[in-house]
Amino acid sequence: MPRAVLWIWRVCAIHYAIGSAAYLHFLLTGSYRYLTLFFLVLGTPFLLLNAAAEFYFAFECRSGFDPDEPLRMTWTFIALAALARFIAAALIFLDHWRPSSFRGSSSLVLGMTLSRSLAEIGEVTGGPLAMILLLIALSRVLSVQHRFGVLRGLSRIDVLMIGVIIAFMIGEAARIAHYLGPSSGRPSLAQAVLWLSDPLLGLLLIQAVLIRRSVNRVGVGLVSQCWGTYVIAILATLAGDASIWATGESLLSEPLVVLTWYIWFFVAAAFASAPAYQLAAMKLPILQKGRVLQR
Amino acid sequence: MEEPKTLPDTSSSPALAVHAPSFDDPVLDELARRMLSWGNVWFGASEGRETSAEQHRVRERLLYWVKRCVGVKATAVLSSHDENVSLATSSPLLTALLGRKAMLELSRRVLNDS
Repeated sequence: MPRAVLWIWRVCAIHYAIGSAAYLHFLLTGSYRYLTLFFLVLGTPFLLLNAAAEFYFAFECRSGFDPDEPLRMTWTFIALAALARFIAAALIFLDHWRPSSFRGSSSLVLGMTLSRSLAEIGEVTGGPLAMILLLIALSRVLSVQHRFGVLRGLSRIDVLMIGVIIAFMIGEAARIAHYLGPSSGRPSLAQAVLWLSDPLLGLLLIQAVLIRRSVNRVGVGLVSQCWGTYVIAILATLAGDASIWATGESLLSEPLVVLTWYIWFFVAAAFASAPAYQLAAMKLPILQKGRVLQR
Repeated sequence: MEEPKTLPDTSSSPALAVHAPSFDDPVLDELARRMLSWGNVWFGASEGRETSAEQHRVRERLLYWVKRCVGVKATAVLSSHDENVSLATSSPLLTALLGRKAMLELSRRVLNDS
């Protein structure tokens, strides 16, 4: 495993260890005190750190390709998706801290005005916008893989999975149409854009199924692990999205709802480690040469 | 005016034992031998033809890098037999996935590794 990937998961494990202590405290006492402290003081910086790491690795991968190479554009879009996630985490972080920072200050009015919009901009940037950028990037990867014969015919399971995803997307569209019925009010722009999250996630899942196919075909290697990790990150995002839906439908108990919040740390770590695998593959010949020279 | 017939120093080239067509001119003979050597290294040995120890080592190094960087079953994408995998067959895929700069370094590693 590349050193950068190892570090990402080590930090993630430590983060989860601290988080589990806060969760245990919540289970025993029912108090949100340490849980809130954990998510605000450690949670958001963790998300910011991982998004920054993903951006750095993706940007480094991008610089490894010449302007006329197809995967340069892929890494440009992945870097932009990481940047979108970073901005989203930063905005949500600011939104969480805003009330206490602005309390009693002359900027109170400004702070109250920006309150809702900061969170909404963050949700849109880290959600649909980041998904669109990733969607474009993965489409290009699939096109390259198809050109070189890495991506071939789908298995029955793949077709079944794509069928389920399409059915899910149709179901979601029907729900939105039902919601937009005559009795409903006019939705805000942010709300309308956020409705794109599920169809976009569906398209990302179809890409994930196709990439999974190509990863199976080439076996375990640094490049295949990079794309395989993106598949894991997308599936984890789906799990997080499903948990939000289940929470909204009151299907989960309170301790379970709190537990689902922890999914997003795994998602962030997976997104950060995917480009680290690609970078390791690109730097490996140079690194090994360096090692030989040091001897 | 006749220019002196000299060949560039290729001391880092793998020394391969292959049969080249014979010319009367020793410089052309040497050139033909080296062209064939590099051809075999680049394209791999043709079917049914024996490979030299150096060619074998070059292929082993190439397979190591392809498997390490892309995937352990990646050679199956390039050819049905590992024996047919050469720099010529693997370069397009490796360049597309790793980029030209990394591929250049990888080729150096494959050809010059000791």
